[in-house]
Amino acid sequence: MQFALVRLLRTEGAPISLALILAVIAFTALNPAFLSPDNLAIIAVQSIFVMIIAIGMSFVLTSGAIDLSVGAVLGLSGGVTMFLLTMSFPTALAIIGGLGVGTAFGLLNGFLVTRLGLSDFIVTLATMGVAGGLLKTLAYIRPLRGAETDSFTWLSYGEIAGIPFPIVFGFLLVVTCTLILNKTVFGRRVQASGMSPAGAIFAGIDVPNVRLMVFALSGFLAAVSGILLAARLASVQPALGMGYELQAIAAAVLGGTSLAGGRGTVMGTAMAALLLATLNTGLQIAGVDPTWYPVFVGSSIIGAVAFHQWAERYVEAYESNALDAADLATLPSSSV
Amino acid sequence: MKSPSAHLTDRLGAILSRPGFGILIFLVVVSFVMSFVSPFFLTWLNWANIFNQSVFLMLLAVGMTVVLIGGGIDLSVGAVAALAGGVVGILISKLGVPLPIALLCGVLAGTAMGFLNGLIITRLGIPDFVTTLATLALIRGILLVWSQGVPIIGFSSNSYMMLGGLRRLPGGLTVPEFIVTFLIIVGLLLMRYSRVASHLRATGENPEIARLSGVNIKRIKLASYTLSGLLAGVVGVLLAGRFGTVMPNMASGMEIQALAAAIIGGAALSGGRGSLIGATIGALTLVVIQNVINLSGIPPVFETLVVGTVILIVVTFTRLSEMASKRRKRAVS
Repeated sequence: MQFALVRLLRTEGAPISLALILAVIAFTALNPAFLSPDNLAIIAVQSIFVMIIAIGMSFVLTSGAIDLSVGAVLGLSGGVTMFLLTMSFPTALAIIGGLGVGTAFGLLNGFLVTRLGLSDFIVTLATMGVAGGLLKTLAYIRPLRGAETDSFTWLSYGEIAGIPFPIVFGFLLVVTCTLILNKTVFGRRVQASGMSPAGAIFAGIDVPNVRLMVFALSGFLAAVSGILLAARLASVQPALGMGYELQAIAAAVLGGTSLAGGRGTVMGTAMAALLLATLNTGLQIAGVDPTWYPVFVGSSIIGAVAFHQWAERYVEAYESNALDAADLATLPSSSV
Repeated sequence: MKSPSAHLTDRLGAILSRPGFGILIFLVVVSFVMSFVSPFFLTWLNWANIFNQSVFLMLLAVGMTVVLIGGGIDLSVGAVAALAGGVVGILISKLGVPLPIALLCGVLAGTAMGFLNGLIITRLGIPDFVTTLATLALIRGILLVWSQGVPIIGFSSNSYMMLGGLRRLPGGLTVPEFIVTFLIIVGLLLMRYSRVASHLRATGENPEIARLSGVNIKRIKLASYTLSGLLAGVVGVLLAGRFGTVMPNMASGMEIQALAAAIIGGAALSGGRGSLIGATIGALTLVVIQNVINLSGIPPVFETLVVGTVILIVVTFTRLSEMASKRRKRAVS
């Protein structure tokens, strides 16, 4: 029993998946319409936008840094793509433009943090203002709507084998990023940089370079999310993406990524993003006043972190007990 | 033996490396340039406005600096301020409580929230960032549910307007300016002469060593968050007096501005470092930037862009001058 619990706690993303299943069961009990495939598909699509930037955030947090600019970069990238579309650029070029701007912001963050040694918090706070301000300027120049092409709309409404494209995309992204973080040399370097920067440097890892790449990845993923969201909404408001960075951090932390660096899970982050979207929709369907939503999210974050700390202590205690038992078993009986 | 000129550059370097000095120069230069752009900029009336607008941010930035020095971060201050203002508004408008008692309750509510933050962080061991982010969402949610999204009104009175700085004293000064100046001077004296302040710095610098040297780091951190809640409470009740209404989203985003002001003023997120005067100047700078944008006819849509760019330039410049002075020191030795 205890062994099974420890196995469960040690499995990446297992506790948050359990919470997700419990939430789905609870909401279905309140209203059976919750479990209809259409509703589930809507929840999944809604969760994708936060999920994508939360995955980028998980990489950044794991490497021991933080990126507050993702929300604003998301909005700006969507805005740039829409802007290029209204200037009747081809869809592919417009998307490349949006991705380029997002990645450029990621690189700028990474450059300022790693090369000048500035605080990641203040740098990304400032670039958040810059990116948000640029989006407002773009929206000031001309309204960012009414120019979507069929292929652009397909990004958010198209289906592959009956499954909405954003869900397919999100699934592939989660699988790819899980593999990158856990199975590649780069992923190991990201984890080592966050766990102990000094140790990683002694081990020959170019920590600044790793962080630079991670910031660039975060900017790129924010752009991807922003472009999908622009396609979904068919317009870009001047404040698009505001507050998304906090949801991304919440999703990453709920999923089991540590704010202190070194420990991160893409699978957990994805499940947590799903859970946040489920709470949002489920509470609405259950007829709860939407003003309660932030209260639920706030308390669930504290609850989740408290749970993780308890789980860590529990697993550690179990393992040290197991080690002691193993030591005793291997010792010759005379010395016990 | 050092040449006199080297001596001079050493002195100059010491002054230059003071936290908040670079930003002070920036302020002077901006003021100089702006006096040509708008003749209104350098008038007493404009600066009276700037001071009156910046006092709230100054107080929040000072509280944030204290928390940052202790190695923490408090993202909930804006929400706590709104809560304190909401408490005062509801007590007066719904229950008819006299103003002084309502004010006391508002400040106490803020202090209690700060204490709660500190308890969660020190007793449950949950990271500062997560705790205060969560209490930020929690408090905003409670305010929304409480007010049903409608501003709380009907609590304003002449004396409360005076207290909030909506009405001016003779000479253009306002009551909050005196309150905030007093609090900042008390803070400066405490930071300079009290033992608690050195314990606070030690805790932020290296919690483990501080603990081993006999500092009760948990109690120090708890105290720093309680102080931050108290100051946010004071800001909240003054803001409610200033506006005459309390919106559920009052003071939202002020935590980020306070943080920016503290960091521009020389505080470090890694703890142990920070200057109350620097934070005050940092807050003043942010308000001056807004004022400059208003006066020079830049469309307000550019405001966030300009503020973000200025913060980037200031921190980059500070960093580069730090690196240069280090290189110079190494060259001397």
